Amino acid sequence: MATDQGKTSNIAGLMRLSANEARAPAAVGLTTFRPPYVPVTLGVLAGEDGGEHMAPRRRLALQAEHQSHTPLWQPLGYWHRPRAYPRAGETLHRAALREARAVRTSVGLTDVSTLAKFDISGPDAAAFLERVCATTVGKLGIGRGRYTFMLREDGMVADDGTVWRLGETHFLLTSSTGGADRMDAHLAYVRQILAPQLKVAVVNVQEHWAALAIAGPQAKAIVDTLIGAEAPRHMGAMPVIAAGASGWLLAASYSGERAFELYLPADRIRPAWQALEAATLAADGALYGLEALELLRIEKGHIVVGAEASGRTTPHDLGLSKMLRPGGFVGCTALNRPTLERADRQSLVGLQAAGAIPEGAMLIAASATAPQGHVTSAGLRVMRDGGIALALLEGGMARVGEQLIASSPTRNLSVPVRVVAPMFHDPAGDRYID
Amino acid sequence: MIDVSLAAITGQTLFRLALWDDSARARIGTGLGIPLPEPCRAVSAQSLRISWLEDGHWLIACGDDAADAVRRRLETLVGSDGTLVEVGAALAGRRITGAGWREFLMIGGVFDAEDPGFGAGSVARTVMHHSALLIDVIAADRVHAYVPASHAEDFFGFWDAEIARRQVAA
Repeated sequence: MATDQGKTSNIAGLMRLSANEARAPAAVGLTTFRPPYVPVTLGVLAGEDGGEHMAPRRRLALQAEHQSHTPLWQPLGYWHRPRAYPRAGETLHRAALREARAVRTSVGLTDVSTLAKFDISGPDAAAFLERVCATTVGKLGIGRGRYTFMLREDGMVADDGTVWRLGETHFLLTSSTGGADRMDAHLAYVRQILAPQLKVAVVNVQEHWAALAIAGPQAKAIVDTLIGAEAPRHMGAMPVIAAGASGWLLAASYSGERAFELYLPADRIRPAWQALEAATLAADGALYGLEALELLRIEKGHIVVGAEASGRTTPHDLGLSKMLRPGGFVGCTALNRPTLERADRQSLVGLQAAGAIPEGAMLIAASATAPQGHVTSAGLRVMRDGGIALALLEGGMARVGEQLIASSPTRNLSVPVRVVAPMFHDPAGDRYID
Repeated sequence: MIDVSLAAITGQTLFRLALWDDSARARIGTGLGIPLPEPCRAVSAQSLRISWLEDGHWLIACGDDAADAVRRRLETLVGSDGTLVEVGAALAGRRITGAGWREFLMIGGVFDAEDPGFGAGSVARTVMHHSALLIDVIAADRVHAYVPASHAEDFFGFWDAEIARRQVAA
């Protein structure tokens, strides 16, 4: 019954049964039909067109603005986002470093519109979010936000993002671009199946709100000018009118610098981008793409879904235990499994080396020994020499100070690395404070 | 040759109405002068088009010039039993007119648009050309179709090309 859902085999079966029992086919009876009730041809499922249309491109609202700077585009699911904005003769690597340095020293502007975004409201909105998120949500003050993460039912980290209390019963939840559809389905599952009694509405606003991130020591002054008011302190949120459009300003940072995310309706965000771009370039800043974003977030030790949050890591493995609530959220029960508390589980560490560390490399103690972990993300220091990486390593932080080898046989590379804490930039968070 | 023409839907504001208390439906229906539509149905009332989206959720379309008034009126009717979220920038729409709309929507789609029961007042949420698609049958020869704004250029480009190809073939 599988591939045709009985549409062909059912009839053949009925005819055989009819012959065996010497009864008319209509008298034999019918099995239970399952959808699709109308036969669907393989041609329809495959689609009529091929080539580029096999993977239609999702375009940013600011596609033309980006294209005017001839960026290198990077596929990200169906989306294409600027990877870097190289100047004439500049390599990807040099462009990314220049852009990241602009963020560290002056200001950088990037498009983060593809982030998943959910408008969550209702008298039970906080209770709903505390089912979904493993961190505290209910104690957030109005106009405040925090980093959060969500678990699968098996206790593994599924996604992460930020949650913002916009009103007493009104929240905005953001999560990763790549996990957006999965998170949409997960929120529906929690609302409809796990907690249908909660009075809450979840609306996917990923595409309604386009979002710009502006980061760096000059970011606040530029944002203050744009909105004609004092921007909120780190992890604060406020409603704004920017370049004629109403939206939200969130003081969130992914780069490790004082930074803001400006959320405006996608069809009205162009003037704000143009104003911020002009101010950024006038301040010797730069537009920055995904490659610079990666360098900045690795240096700050932020995990990313798919690399560190690989689907096999718990909050304990990723150093997030202190943020966990005691219970009541999806996945909390599974966290008590003894195997997840073993000290030799692979957990998050940082790595340092004199030069570049190969991403994806195995971590070994010596040549021809068994791998003890692997490099999840790697990059160069932004403002100084040397390579850094995030890695999952057996024993994790208990091994800080050890020397290992990052070995990549497929690239014929072996790089000596030192295990360090997974935070290379401003561990105290001083740069978030004005 | 296929008897359809496409035009962008412009000057329209879209809200998503979400209720967490179903008892509010009757009050809102009374206030609007027409009940909120049942699953897979849409209604028009006082320059509003209201389309069912999922359990407890409806898409409400109105002219841009009336958007503020509509918002205030609906927020009053909804009270503390639900929420109204503007979502217009998330969707791009095309008005499909002509007798061939059913045949047209069967191209590359998995939804049976040729089902005679799928007539005026019907809505469907389906997938076409890898994109989510909302089909709202306004009248016997007129349909509104919405896709995520990010898909619009490729999706509607494909539709335009398909119509052109069939005209050439004819």
